[in-house]
Amino acid sequence: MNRVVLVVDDEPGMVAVLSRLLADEGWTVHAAHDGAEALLLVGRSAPRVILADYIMPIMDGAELVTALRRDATGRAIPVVMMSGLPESMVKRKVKHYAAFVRKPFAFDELLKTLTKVAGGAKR
Amino acid sequence: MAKAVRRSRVAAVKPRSKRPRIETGIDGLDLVLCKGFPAGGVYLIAGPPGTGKTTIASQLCFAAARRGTRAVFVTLLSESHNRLIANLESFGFFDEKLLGTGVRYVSAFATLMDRGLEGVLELLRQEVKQRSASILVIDGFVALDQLGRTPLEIKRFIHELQIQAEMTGCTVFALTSQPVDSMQPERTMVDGIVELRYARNNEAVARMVEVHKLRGSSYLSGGHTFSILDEGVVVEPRIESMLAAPSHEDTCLTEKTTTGIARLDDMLGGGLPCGTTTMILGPSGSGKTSLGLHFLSASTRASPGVFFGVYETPPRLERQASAMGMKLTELVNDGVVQLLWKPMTGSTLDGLGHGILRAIKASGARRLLIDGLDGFQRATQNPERIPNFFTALANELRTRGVTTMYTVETPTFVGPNVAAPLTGVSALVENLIFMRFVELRADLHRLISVLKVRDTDYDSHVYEFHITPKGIELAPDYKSADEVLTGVGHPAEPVTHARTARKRGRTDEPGRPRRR
Repeated sequence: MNRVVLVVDDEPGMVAVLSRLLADEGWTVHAAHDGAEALLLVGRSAPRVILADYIMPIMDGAELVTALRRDATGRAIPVVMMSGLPESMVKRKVKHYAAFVRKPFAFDELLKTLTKVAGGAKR
Repeated sequence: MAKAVRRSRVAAVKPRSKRPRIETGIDGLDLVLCKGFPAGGVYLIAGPPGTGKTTIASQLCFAAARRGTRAVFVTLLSESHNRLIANLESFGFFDEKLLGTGVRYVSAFATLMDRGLEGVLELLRQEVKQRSASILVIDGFVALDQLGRTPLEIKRFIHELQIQAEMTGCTVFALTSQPVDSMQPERTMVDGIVELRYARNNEAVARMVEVHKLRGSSYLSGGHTFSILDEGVVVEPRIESMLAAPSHEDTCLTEKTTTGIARLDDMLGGGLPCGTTTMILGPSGSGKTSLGLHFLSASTRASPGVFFGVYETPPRLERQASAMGMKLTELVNDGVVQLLWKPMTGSTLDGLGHGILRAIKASGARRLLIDGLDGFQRATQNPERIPNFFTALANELRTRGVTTMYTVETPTFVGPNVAAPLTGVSALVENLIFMRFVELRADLHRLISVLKVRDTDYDSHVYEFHITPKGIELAPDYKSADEVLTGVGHPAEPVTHARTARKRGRTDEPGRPRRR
């Protein structure tokens, strides 16, 4: 299994810390700061899984998922959605994601989710 | 495909619910923090050099290690760990066996010099991960400023530290000698700030701890005194802040407690109402402590007593009680009465208050004598605290079913005026007993009167009393006091007549009983 993850979050500190912690666990991490930037990276980085924040500028997490579904390369990549909002609110705008993690979260729990989702992915 | 993704959705990761707490191992500080620091946050412990930052942080680390968790203490300063550990070895909380495993001291000075903040973050992350540490202390935060790091760099460092702490469940304590007011951007970013400082009370210096911020938690605001003792740091939370609400329900006791003097009980309408506070006012030598010793000597196994004083030492008290025929020493030996003497030198107001509460909790006392209430005033640099301090203490004692007697020295030595030296306190007590001297014909007479008893009809007459080998003895009626006060107490005998009478052994003239 390729352990490549694309972390998408507008908070630089979050991206930096997640990138380091995931790298420590053997993941290759690519990072983007909004949905639009992530879409550009999908083709180049070929991630096994995308870890995306829900609220972001330019293109948020919901719009990213919708855009991925229209994209031949992106539609097979599972998205783990992160948000400080409850999942019930996120679900109103987007449904096609593989898992949801509510911020703040424990890294170990996120890692379990990510590994599980990546393991079930088709690529 | 979308359907396939949806079907394989993994159960949502729940957010961290109510945060667990990191207890510091310092009881008083945990009280101030309302059960410790919320876990997974970044907290600043700030204070000038020597205030005790390293000691508090180390005590916290060893307490965590004793609970079976691990702590890493990282220093950004150039000081060697050997020196730091040598300074800690004398403290009671220090345990050599926990060094290296439970508590690990690491220097990040070289990393900071060579690889900057990025390198330090890397080191911290690796240390926390490899040691599975739940506590990380970073000593020498001031070094970041001293090394010319920009506010933006520091902000980024703290932000990442904060996210890392939250995700890994490791609580971070950053120690700095910078003044709290000057700390930008740290002040706004961190989850909590604890300031250590010195406060002067005339020539004496007290250490104070104050929580300025604690996200997601309540705390006891304002300054609280603390000391660094052999066992480590001891924090004495401000009594009126800690006991803003009493710890127990008020059971509204209706029974009476004996003062140990039957005649005085009669004056009071059957004794002191249980759970109330009584102030004994009087000049030095008027018999306040003697009355208090009667009260204390009435203690029983079912109703133990505590003496708490700042002047008389226990041996002196026992001797005084013995001279009045009281079995105080036996009561002390039997564990029915506890005598506690706290010298004024070096005592703080809250230290005295906590001493009382500890003794009451430990002994389950139902009667308490606080001898020398005025001494409490001298233990604080803020006398305006006194009324609130005693209100909080009295409320707590009442709900614990403790009947309390305070002795207070009045400034006027002889005369009928009642002047309570502690502003605002006499209004708070429920019962007032006034003891005084009256001078008549070159002789001093002791008088006692009850000025107030809660919800009770009492005898408001003034009585003469004597301190005899049997203790305090009140005159059977108020006539002798009346005679003393109106100046007709003694027969207008010529001096020679009186001398002659004494020579004949007539020392028991009416109106002139024998005094000690």
